[in-house]
Amino acid sequence: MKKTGQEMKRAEWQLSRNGLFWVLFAFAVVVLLHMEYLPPWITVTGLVCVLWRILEYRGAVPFPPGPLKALLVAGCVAGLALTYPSLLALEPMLSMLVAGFGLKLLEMHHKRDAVVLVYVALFAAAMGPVFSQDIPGFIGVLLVCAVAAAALVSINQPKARGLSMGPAVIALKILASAVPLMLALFLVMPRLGAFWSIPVPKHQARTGVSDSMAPGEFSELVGSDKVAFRVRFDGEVPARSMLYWRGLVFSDFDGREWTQADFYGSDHLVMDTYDYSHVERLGSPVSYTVTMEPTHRRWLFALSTPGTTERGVQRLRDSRLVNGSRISHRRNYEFRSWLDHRLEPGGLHSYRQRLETSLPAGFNPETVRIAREWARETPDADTLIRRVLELYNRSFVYTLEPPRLGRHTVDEFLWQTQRGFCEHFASSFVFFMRAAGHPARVVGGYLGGEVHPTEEFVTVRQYDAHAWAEVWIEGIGWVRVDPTAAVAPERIEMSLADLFGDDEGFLANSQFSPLRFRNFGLVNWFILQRDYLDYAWATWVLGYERQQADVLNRLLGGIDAPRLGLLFLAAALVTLLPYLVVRFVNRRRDRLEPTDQLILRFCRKLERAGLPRRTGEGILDFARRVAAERPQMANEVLAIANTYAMQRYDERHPPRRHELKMMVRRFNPAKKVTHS
Amino acid sequence: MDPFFGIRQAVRRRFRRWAERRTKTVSECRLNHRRLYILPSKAGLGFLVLVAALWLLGTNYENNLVFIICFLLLSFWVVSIHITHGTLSGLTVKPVRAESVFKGEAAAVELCFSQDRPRRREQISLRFAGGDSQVIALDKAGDTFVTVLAPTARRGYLAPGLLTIESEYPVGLMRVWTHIRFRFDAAVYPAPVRDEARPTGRGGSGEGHYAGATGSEDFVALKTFEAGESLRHVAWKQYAREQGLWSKQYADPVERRTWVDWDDYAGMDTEQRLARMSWKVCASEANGSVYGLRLPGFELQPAQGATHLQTALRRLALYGVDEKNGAGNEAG
Repeated sequence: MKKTGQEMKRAEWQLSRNGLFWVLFAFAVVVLLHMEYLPPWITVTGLVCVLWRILEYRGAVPFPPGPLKALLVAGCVAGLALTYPSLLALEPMLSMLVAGFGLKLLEMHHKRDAVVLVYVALFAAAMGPVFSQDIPGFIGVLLVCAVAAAALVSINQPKARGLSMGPAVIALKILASAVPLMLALFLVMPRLGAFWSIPVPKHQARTGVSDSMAPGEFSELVGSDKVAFRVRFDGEVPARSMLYWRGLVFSDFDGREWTQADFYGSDHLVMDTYDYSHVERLGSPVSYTVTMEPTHRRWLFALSTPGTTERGVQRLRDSRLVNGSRISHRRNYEFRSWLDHRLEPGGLHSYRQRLETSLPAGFNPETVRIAREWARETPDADTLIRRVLELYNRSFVYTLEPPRLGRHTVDEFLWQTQRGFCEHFASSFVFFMRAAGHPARVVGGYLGGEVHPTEEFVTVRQYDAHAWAEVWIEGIGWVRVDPTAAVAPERIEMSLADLFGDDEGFLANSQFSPLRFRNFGLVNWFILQRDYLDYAWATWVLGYERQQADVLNRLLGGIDAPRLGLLFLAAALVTLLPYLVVRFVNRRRDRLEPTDQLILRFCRKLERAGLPRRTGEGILDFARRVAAERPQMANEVLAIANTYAMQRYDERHPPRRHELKMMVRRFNPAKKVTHS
Repeated sequence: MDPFFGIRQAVRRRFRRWAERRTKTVSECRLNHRRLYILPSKAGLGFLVLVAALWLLGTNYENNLVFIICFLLLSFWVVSIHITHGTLSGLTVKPVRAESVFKGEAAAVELCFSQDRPRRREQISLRFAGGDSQVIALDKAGDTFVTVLAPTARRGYLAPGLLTIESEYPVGLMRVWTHIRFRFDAAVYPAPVRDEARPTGRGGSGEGHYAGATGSEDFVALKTFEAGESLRHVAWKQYAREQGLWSKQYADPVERRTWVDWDDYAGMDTEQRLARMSWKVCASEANGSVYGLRLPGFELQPAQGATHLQTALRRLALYGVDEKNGAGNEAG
């Protein structure tokens, strides 16, 4: 007796075979999901733990003895400490969760342990979006969550059941009915913003335009078809030739590399929010939203000259925008740009004048000599620019594979090779202008982008990276000059994909990119759809907090407690709908045969008159008894009972339901009693 | 160890008292929202902690995808309230029968669970207060009969405390339960206490006295054997001659009757007396004696057999027990 009681208790807390299987499965998919963010030894340890636990279950291997377990734990701790310099980051946390989970598997017998492990699996899975926010990755995360939910269900299944998919079916059913409520919560719950500063995932390489520019760097970017950012205009997309997305301004040149300069003194770099004293803004601005892909750099890309009220975005004196912190996840920025403008037309500070004309000593002597000569011949900046651009136009070649250059990059490019990519043109042009005594600088960013034919948004990819020049002209300010346009004007009007679509260097890093096969209509259509999906995903899901007020207003016509309550009520109703439908259908099925309903109504009438039908009493017997007790209604009662009996039990009898219905309706025992 | 132990105990006690007041003794009980309680289980509370952690993660990383998972899990939790409630909701529980037992033994109580429509309900645990739990599953529409053991702690009518029907099926995040109190006509007999050396009172005799005193037997007549009579009285000779099964009747049966008499056990309290009388009744039956029972204001004529034994024990069990609301005998 006692023993069976104990056995029963044991069955209550012991993990079943199916439960074990599902927990192991959940763990394995979590490890696979995060494989690219985990150090390989953690992945291997995790999968070995799964294997060991399986063998353990089959009795092939004993449970690890105490000392071995202690050794394993110590090994994992040491490994983590060696792998990560600081444990206070996201990857070490994920690794710790996975390692702890794996080791716990080895000694998991209780349902309680299994439940805790499932929660750890859910948390680890939910960390996925912090590392990557693309659609396929998120679908993976959701699948892992579903497996973990199935594991939770399997733990509570009866022990006797063997391996089965049953738990998955139940979990999916519950998850499916949870979706409406989840949507309501997602729409309504306020987003509070970060509470404390957080470690950012470090595994990703920085992408996009780098913070310095050396020959050959831009042509490397052309190898990638990754999206840099997307832009949605609040109106028509400006002409392609206007889409110069400024990101970086290079003013320092060391002979080989262009880097960004720091401004100081009264010319401080960061502008106050409302200080536009250095810009003359003409005409009306264009408004647009830039959805940045994570670059892990701070640069933002905007049309010149931008203004913004975005939190955490700084506007700099050279008219670019910088995010307060590194961009670690996809985010939307709202900008306005005055395309028609004059930047610093009033004059440059003397040190700025020096900075923007300075040249490294001992580099490119030939160019310096010729530039000074030309400057004497044509002192007017405008004419000089035209003369240099004509030089480019005459004999230069725009190519993805420029020859390598030696020490005097500008000299070699301008007077010998004459084959180059945008950075060669921008660099040599700015050098030439500076040598001629005109302030000039190199600007890095993207040019153009692909305008989606139906939606008003532009996708800018890495291969749209571009470098151009800005020259300062007295009384006008900074003027954009794109020397590449002088060589290959089609670059401005066409995308690089159209220009170099068949070239070897283009998309060199992504051999099988669908962009290579755009000439096929279907492929092109697919790419456009994917772009749009990505854009919608970024706007409506990843950047939802920006649309929240708008969406709720449009959906509910206002944001107040009753409306939000109604939204949740609607969500609850949708959740319950399947159950209500099942119930309704079943109720209809359970409904009594109409003749039976009539006779029950008749019995209820008699019961109210003090003549209840006894349990088990047949309807004819009942009628006879009533007839005996109340002779004044005997005829009526017997008639009803007989009609019913014939109707119900005599198949040869023609249906007379209507007659029965009228009889029952007219029948009134109370009236008869009072009359007598 | 647990600083909230006292508070938890107090809350639990209060809830129990409140639930007991709400729980009427019933003969049939349909489980619905009025009868069922539902609260998150420990795992369910842990799940909320997980949801809170995910919310923090989503908020700090300003990551809407983490929010989606967080809200999905929260909704999963909310929907599991409905689903778990459905595990018990719509069931009808009826007491069928219970066997009479001695105090301290577990009474086998047969219950009938019925549902109108076929529906899988798993992992339903049944437990009488103080007893072991038993897990059942239901599937088909109609009646399912289940026997549950109810511990007994007091003689009288079998009124096994609150029956707790509970389940955490299917996700274990919620615990749905109900308490039902059933009354049964079955009795809980006083637990027998051995007491050999009892002086015989008026006309009473110790057991064994009758069996050994063959000389005083005075055979009078034969009568038809009735089921339940002792085999000692069977007229074997007649049976061997194939004249049928007869039992012998003896004259002066008073002399050979055993009386289990309340007055023999003076100087003890009621329960002690009844316990000893219960033993004597059982012992007499085991010996094949013809025995009678005397209680204040009641006398059971001597006889023997299973039915007689049950009548006697039932009398002992119900002695002093109010017919209407018999003293409950729930454990603990």
